[in-house]
Amino acid sequence: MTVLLRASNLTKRFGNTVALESVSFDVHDGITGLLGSNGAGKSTALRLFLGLLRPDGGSADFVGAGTADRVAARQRIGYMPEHDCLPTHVSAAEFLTHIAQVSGLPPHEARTRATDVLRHVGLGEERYRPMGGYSTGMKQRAKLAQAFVHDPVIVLLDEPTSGLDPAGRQEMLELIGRTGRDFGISILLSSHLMGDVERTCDRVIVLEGGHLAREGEVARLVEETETLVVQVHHGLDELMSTLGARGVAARLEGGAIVVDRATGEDMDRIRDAIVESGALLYRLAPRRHSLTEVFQSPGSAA
Amino acid sequence: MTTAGPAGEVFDLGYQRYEGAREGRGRARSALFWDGVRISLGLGRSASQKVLPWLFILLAIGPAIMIVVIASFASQFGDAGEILGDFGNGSYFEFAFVPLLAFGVAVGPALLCPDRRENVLALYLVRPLTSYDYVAARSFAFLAVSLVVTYLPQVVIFATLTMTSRAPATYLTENWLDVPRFVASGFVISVFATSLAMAAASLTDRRAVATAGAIGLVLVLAAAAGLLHDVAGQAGRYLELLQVPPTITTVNNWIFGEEVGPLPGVAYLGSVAGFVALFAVVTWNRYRRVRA
Repeated sequence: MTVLLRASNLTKRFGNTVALESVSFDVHDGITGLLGSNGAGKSTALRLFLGLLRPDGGSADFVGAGTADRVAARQRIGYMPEHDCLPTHVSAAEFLTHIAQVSGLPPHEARTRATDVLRHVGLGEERYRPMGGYSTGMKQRAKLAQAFVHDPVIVLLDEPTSGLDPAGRQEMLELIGRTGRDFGISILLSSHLMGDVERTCDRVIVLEGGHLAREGEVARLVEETETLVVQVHHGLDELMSTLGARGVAARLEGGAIVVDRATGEDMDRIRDAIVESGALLYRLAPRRHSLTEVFQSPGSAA
Repeated sequence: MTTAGPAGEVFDLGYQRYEGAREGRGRARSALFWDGVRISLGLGRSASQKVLPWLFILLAIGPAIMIVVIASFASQFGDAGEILGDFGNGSYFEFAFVPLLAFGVAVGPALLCPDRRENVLALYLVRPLTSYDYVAARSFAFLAVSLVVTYLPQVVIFATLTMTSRAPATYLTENWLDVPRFVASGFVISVFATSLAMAAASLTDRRAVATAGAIGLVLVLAAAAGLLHDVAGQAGRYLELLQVPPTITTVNNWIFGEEVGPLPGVAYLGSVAGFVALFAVVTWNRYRRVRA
């Protein structure tokens, strides 16, 4: 794994408000989630990495840029802000060509890449329309396109699913996943939505109140637990009573039967109870942690 | 029986990494400059975005069109230059200064205000340039357009007067100094209009407010100077330097070698330079806060 961004004892204050307090972490290649509630310091961290803010202590370095010149390094980084940032009277094709040139690409290459990138984000047919007439989903796609039109090493996305309906959110997450995995552009995805991070990211960095709460690989954080989940189509009550009769400590949770710390013997008893009760089995599987559970229970795996 | 040949195939090569040249800060500045030129002229924008700049350009070159028409008509009866008398390169800016200033304050803010209003500035400042690069590129773009709009009518007038003269060669030898004079005078007007427009635009993200603010400043200064002139005694004559239109037309007359007063011509030029410096500091200071 290659380190692309490095925060070392990073501190940023706005007056008496501490946005980040001596935070240190590395962002590697791949897709990394920057998770935290509103005010956790996510956007401040992004702005520090982009050089839009000056840290009060420590440093935020783009070590993957291959140059020490902070301004020149911005040729290799992309940014998608949370808020609206597209000119309304200009077409996507014209704006992306322009913004690619502002990122340092020669005019001909800028024009070619603008067309290609708009096709990749699904705006190929709409590229000559003024962006003021775009839907929210199209605007988010155009914002993502401008972030990687110059083929950066890493793209920083600030709440990219903000304002999207469930279908649009799903499409945007798929597009982000494709950008990270198929296009080979690393991504730092800032979000307060654990589901977005869990579905899209390889690694996660969690900020809470300006401090680093956790960091690690998403797969390890949500690994299987000893809790067993049993779901049946019908016969739930009969199965519960049969399990009780066989000495299995089971409880109901949201229409499913949950058995904590299930042993091998418990598995055999559950199997026999299902047969005896005549319940129609739908699902029998160990439970995986969701990121929500991981971060709501301090002291669990990190 | 013939069969159709194989149809053409379209291959999706997928996403292609960019391995070509990256031209950095120079390309970024150049792209912003040319984009600023296009905004100033409404190029690549909808028809409604083209109306305002071209309307003011027509107003600014209107006096030149009139002079050219009159000169062409007058040439049928004699030497157009002699018939026109004082109407020529030297007096052109006396008529055109107000439309040129109006072009500046009406169109110039379009280069800065929408970028802040629509948050596009956030996208620029994460590119390989600084906030100073941004505001300098935008300002020079508008200055370039403004210079073209200022010089073009003067060139047309000079060419017309030369061609409609009874002895074009004589006209050229006697009046060639008008060329560097209108270049200098036009430069002063363009720099003043650009700096005023940029300073006004830096203080608000609404174009109309910037335009109204710039016009308001010129009017308030003129009114204040007029009111204080009578009560200020001997110092009152220096207040004349705050009145923008007469000050700039006086600079124009001074450059064209005419008698000016009551102050020396360089005082009027100093006043314009002072305004330009003040407007530049305001603009620079506003964009200093936007770090990048």
